[in-house]
Order: sequence, then C-alpha cells, then structure tokens
Amino acid sequence: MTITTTCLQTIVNHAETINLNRRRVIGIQYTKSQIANVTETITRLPWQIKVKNSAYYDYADPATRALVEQLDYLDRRYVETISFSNNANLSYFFKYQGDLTPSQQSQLTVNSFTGNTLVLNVNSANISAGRYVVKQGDFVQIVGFPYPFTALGDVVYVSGSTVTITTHRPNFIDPINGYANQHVNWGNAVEFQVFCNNMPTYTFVKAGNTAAITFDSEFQLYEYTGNLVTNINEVVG
Amino acid sequence: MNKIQFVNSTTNIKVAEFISINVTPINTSVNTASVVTLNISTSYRNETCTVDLTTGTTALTFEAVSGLLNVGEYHRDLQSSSNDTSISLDGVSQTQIQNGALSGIGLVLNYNIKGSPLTIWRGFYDDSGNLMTYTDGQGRTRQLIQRFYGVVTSFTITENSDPQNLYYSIVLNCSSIKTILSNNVVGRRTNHDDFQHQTLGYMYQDGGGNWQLSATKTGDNSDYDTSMDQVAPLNNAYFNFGQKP
Repeated sequence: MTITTTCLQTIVNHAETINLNRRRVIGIQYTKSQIANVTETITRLPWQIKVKNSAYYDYADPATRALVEQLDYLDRRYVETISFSNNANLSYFFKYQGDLTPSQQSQLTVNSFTGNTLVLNVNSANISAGRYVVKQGDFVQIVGFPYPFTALGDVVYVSGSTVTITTHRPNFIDPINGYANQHVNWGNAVEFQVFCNNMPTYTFVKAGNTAAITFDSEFQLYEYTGNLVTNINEVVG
Repeated sequence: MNKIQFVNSTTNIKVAEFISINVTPINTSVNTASVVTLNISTSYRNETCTVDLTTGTTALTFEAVSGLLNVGEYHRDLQSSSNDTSISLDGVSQTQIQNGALSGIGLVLNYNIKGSPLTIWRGFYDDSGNLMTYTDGQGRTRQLIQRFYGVVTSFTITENSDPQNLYYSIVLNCSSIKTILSNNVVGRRTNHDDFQHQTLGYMYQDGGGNWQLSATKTGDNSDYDTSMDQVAPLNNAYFNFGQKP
C-alpha cells in the first residue's frame, strides 16, 4: 500500500531556519605560483535544503500522530513534492520579482529548453515592452516536471513571440517526456521533488498527560533528479 | 595523438566520462547477433554523440541515469602502454537501460560481462551545459575523445551494510587491449605453427582516429600473425652474395 504524504511539506511550513546548498562538484588545485585551476564535474545540481524544525509537536494531537507516521513511512526511500507557497509565513521565500501578472504568467509556455537556455512562448500574454519577465534569481519550473530552475539574469521583454531565460543549471529533462508547450510555475509556486536523506528520529518529552515530540536533527531534503517520478511516493533509487 | 582543444588556455574544465560495453546474454553464443551495447555516462543528461568504432560518424546515445558511480584512474602515455582501470556501478540501479534490465546486478549476472569489449571516452562541456565539438587531426568534427579501449576481465560485487544503511556496488575491472595482446604471446615458441595458433590480430586506427583491434575491421580477415611466414622459405634459401648478376 502506498500513501500520499504531506509530512515534508508540514516540516517546511514549520521551518525555523532553512539552509540552501547549491554548490557544484568542483575540484580546485593551486599551483606553486598560487594560480587556481578548477575542474568541474557537470551534474544535475540537485537542490539541497536543510530545514531546522525546533517546534515541539503535541503527541496528543491526531495531526502529530499522522505527521510522524508519514515521516516513518517516507523514511529515506520515498519522495514528496513540496512548495514554499503553502504557508503565508513563507510567502517571501522565493517570491517572484518580475512584472508579469498571474494572468500573464499563466499564458507563457515552453518553446524549447536546450542547455541552460529556456525559451518561452509569449502567446497572448500582452506583455508591455520594458517589463521584467524575470529578475535575477527568480524561480521557474515547467508544470509537470518538478525541477526548479533560477534565472541567471534579468529578462526584459522587448518584442516578439518569445522570451529567453538563461537558467542556473542546464536542462536535463528528456524532450521525449513532452515538456514542449507546457506552462510554467513562477516564483514560490515552483515545486521541489525531494526526499529526506537523513530522516531524523524523534524524542518524546513528557509534558503533563501527553508528550511533546522534538526531532533530533534538521531535515536534509535532497532533490530527486532521477527518472521522472509520475506517482508521488514512488520509490527512490 | 589528437590535440585536445578544450583544455587550452582555460582554468575551468567541465568533463564527463562516456562508456560503451558490448555484452551478450548468458547461454548465448558470442558469435550470434545477440550482442547488446550498454552506453552509459557520468553526464547530467542523455547524450547522443558522434562517435563510432569504425567510421566516426554513427551516433551513440549514452544514458545518464545509469548507475555509473565512478571511473577509475587510467594512464595516458606517449606510446601505447598496458594499463588497467576499473568502473564502479550502482548495484541497484533505478532504470532499465536499453533492451531490458541491463544495469546493476542484472548486468553482471545475466550477461557474459567477462571478456566484453569496452571503450571509454571523455567529453567536455561549455558553460551552457552543452557538449563541445572539436576538429581532430584528420579534419573530422568530433565530440568525444577516446581514452581507453580494453576488455572487462573480472567483476566484484560489494555489499556494505550496517543496521541503517545498505549499499551494493559493482566494480568492473578492465584491462587495456595491449595487455590482452601481450598475454596472448607470452610463452609462445618462435616457430611458424605457434605464430599461427593464436588469433592475435593487430591494432589499427579507424576512420575516427581511434585505435581498434583488427577483428573489428570490416572485410579484413588477416588476424593471424604473419611474422614467421617467410622464415621457413628463407631457411632453405641459398644466397650467393658474391655472384655477378
């Protein structure tokens, strides 16, 4: 039996601190003259998000029982799709900075995505010249493919039927999966497909007639960039 | 040796390894047309590259999500040398690679992996994540640079486990084709029959500039060592070097 979980989303929603690791696989050697030579292994550059969750959860609360049950089920083997748009307290996180209205955003579709060049069809979005499609650091994600990309630079709409965004990592989604003409999620609406590769254990602290639950470490969420997971909670690996 | 243009005048190199292995299913004769090619890479995406063992034009598609963990060290000397290397694979790979479950444990248990020919190339990427092309010494446009050609000589399956973690990994040990050729002639006596006994073949450069064994050369059956062919006739020949012509 597989179940649909929302536990990692709950953990994210209760985050006290969030740490992002976007570092690449790089080797640096220094010559005697102190010139640095850099070698990079080109990777899918998975998002690595550490979420610290210091809140105590009341074990008597059925929602807490469900939370820990789902976490135990998920363990380090299954993925869950999370977003940072589900909590008003996190609405600033990854917030879209461009000038497009939600209506305009919903009009743009994928034209092509080769290397780190994402070309979007403007369609009938009626974007005025000079408006920012994205600003540096804005998030985009093709609907149906939970792999967020960020914009390496500002993109200002001038004219024409397409706009081009240079992304922080090259596209690794196989075109055979059919992302052409798909719509795009923007800003904090992007979805991350992650699993927790350290799934912390938890401790019961007696609190009167119930117990408070605290997690023994932060949650290390690691983006799953393997083959497309079509069903939530599909096994990792 | 071809000049590698990507590594000139740069302090930032992005590389990936590309591997091609030809295997046959167990209980299948290697002479039948059942050879399956496993093309895998350490790249971040599937790549269709312009490499070929004979013509340098046929494209091969290398799987990115293939469980390839690491490629061991291999030497590149000024002259042809005998070196070994190893390839580490994830024991439980997540994907089925071409023509069935050709991955992980399935690869080494269901196929005749020992003796399978193997080629390793290296590819270089630009800042946009696209595989770069270069022009080789013969003026051909290529994407990959061959680094190793040999056969799989053995494999090991390793299990590391503790109460919380379990890892399987497979290591393919590979010998360069020069080692294989050297082993064929070790202890061979210096006479015509012994030289004919071993099917040695010879090394030649294909149309793409890669070194290959003559057994892969289309239409060439001269795989026998001809070094001793003229010894017997010469043995009984009499040469009067002082005779006027």
